[in-house]
Amino acid sequence: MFDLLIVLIVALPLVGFAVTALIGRRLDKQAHWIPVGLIVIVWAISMVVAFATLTHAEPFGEAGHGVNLFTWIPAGDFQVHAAFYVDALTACLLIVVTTIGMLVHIYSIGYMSHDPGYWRFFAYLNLFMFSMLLLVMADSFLVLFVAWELVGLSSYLLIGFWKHKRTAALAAKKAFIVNRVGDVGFALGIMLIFASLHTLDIHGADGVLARIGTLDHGTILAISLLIFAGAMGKSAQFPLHVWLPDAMEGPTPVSALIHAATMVNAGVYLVARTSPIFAGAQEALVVVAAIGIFTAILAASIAMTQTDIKRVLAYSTLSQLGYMFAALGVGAFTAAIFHLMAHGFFKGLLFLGSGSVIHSVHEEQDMRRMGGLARKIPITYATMLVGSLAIAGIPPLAGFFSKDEILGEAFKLGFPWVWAIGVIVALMTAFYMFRLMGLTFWGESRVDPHVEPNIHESPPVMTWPLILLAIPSALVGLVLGLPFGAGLLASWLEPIFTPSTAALHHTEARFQLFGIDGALIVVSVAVAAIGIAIAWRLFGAEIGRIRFRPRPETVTAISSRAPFLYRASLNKWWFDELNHLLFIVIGGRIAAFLWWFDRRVIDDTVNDLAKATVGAGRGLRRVQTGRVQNYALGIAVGLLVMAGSFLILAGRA
Amino acid sequence: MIRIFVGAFLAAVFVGGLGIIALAAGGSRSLNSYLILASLLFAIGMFGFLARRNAISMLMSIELMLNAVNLSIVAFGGFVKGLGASGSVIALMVMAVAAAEATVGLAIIIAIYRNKKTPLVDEYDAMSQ
Repeated sequence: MFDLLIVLIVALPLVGFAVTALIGRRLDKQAHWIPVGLIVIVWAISMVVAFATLTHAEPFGEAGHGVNLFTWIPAGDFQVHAAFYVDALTACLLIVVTTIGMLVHIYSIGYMSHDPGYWRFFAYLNLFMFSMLLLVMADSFLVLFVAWELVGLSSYLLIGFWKHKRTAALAAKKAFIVNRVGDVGFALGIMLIFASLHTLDIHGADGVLARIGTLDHGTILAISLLIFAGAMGKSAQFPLHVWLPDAMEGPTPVSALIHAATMVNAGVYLVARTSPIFAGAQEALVVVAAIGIFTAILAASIAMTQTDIKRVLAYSTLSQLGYMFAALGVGAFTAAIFHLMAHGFFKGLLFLGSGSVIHSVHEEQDMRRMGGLARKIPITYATMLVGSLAIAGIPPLAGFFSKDEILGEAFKLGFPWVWAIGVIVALMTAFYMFRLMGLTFWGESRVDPHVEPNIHESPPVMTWPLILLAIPSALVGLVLGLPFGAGLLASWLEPIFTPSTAALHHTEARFQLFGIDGALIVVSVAVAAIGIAIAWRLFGAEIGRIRFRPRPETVTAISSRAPFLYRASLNKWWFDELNHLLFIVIGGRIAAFLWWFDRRVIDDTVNDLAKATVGAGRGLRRVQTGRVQNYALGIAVGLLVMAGSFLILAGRA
Repeated sequence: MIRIFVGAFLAAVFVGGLGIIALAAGGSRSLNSYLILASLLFAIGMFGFLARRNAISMLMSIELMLNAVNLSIVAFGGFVKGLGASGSVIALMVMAVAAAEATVGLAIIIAIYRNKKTPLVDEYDAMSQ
């Protein structure tokens, strides 16, 4: 029965996409029924499957259960199976993807209700759900790669959903192209896997993960770095991070679902899924950790000065993804997945909340023209406050547990530099989130006077998903993370990551609440509190008794004190300009030269050869006179030459 | 008229020269004299084939070359020990083939002549157009 359910999880969104794409235009404003209904069914099925997996019910057991649907490419030695595999890791992803996916679908009914492309939006969303679920369940690197490209495609379609808007079209193109850069690496990695192991199956006795140890160290290192290149592209890690902030040009539900909660996690999932490969090449893991933590601090520094509410959240997403990669890099795979789940919920919540804010102030995204919204949109405000506290790492909300686990593991596993930067990032995270809250919800209203009287709370179809996401944002840490060091999630994922962590020779340190771990918890909570306090002092706060007045003049004074840092942060460390210089200006010159070389040297060589052939043919044509005696003369001369040379040669012998 | 005389004179000089050469080479007892005669005949035939424009004349030149070859074969048959009657047999076969070839050739020439109304081969230029 579970085999059927697993197949249905993937098949239903595909059906929804096909049906909506074919007849959606005629359904018009009723187009959401089929896709949303199907996703609700998929959510229910996924919960059943995830529950069965996590309770080790038959046929899943400890290790998980695979379903071989059919052999996709049976070509002698080259066998690719369209196979699915569900284990605890997949189950965790299923919970995140289908829950947030379902809520975003429901939210979109309200958010997109006035959009002329209503049906198209739901068709794309279902396509995305199909691709993402295929991605987390695929049991062959080739199927995984196909799903990987399909989520890229649906991301492209949804970023550029408002295709008449030039910036959206450009952002979609940028996302697609930057992702391809990483995907080239991933594709090469898959080829290298096949070349060295002659299989693309992930699990099983002949699978890649089981046999990766038979390869030599250099090959494993190359494979893991190439796979990580793909993960970097999809999860927007430095230097391929430039596409994610621009991807916010898409509708806000898309930002919440794809560019915060699910698709961008695919890279983290991929590294976690292939952790036995990475465990065989520890240098690669150090690279993962370094790039992750660097992205975390880079993005956090940018998020501190952005004024577009969605861009702040986008850089925050980058930063949190950096945390996850840092966790993977230090070998704390469980912590990475924990943060992935927690982040999925609270960042999905924050994005949907920001969408609700944008909706209420008539598509205004600039926080400088918000302020004082707390009383006018109370549900949005309350849920976003929960999300902000969660991401800032205030106990007992989700972000506290997951972030603390990452930082604690980094410190204990011998990466104090990751820990140190991580703590700074935690401070920055708390600061920019409460800067966002202060600018948006507290203080004086700076909303356009024409819009001011029309500010209204979003319809229930949008606020209910916010409430439903606020609950896991608040509680998922308590449920999955307690007791410390031996939580529910740890017990789920332990069997999957044990071989990898064993290969890394990590000594399992016991959790000491009144020792090192307690101290680390105090440090990270204190740091988060400091960040929040600074933000409150500068940008104001109005939570019950806590009341601070915003001080824009102090903000200006501080930013003029460190003009370089301020401008660097405001201009995103000039990465777009750098890329423009490197790839558009310099790359364009090189391309122009190569074009010239191609035209003048390569093409002309070929063309001149052709011209010479034509000319030679035109000259030699005269030999063929069509007169019999000319040919006869040829025969006679030939005869004479042959006879003469025979005589000469015979005379010499 | 004068051309006939000149032609006859040249032919006489030619035949006389040929006889002198043949005698110098050893007369009828020498293989070389036969071969010289055969090669001269062959050269004349080749010249005729290349220089004459009339298709019938070209066909006759071919016959001349074939006969030159026959002559040399028969001469080898007579002088080379062990070859015996084989030379003569081969010569007979060449004659048979030559007769067949002449038949086919004449038939072709007649067919072309019916189309082109001319026996001159340099006007048979349909292939070059």
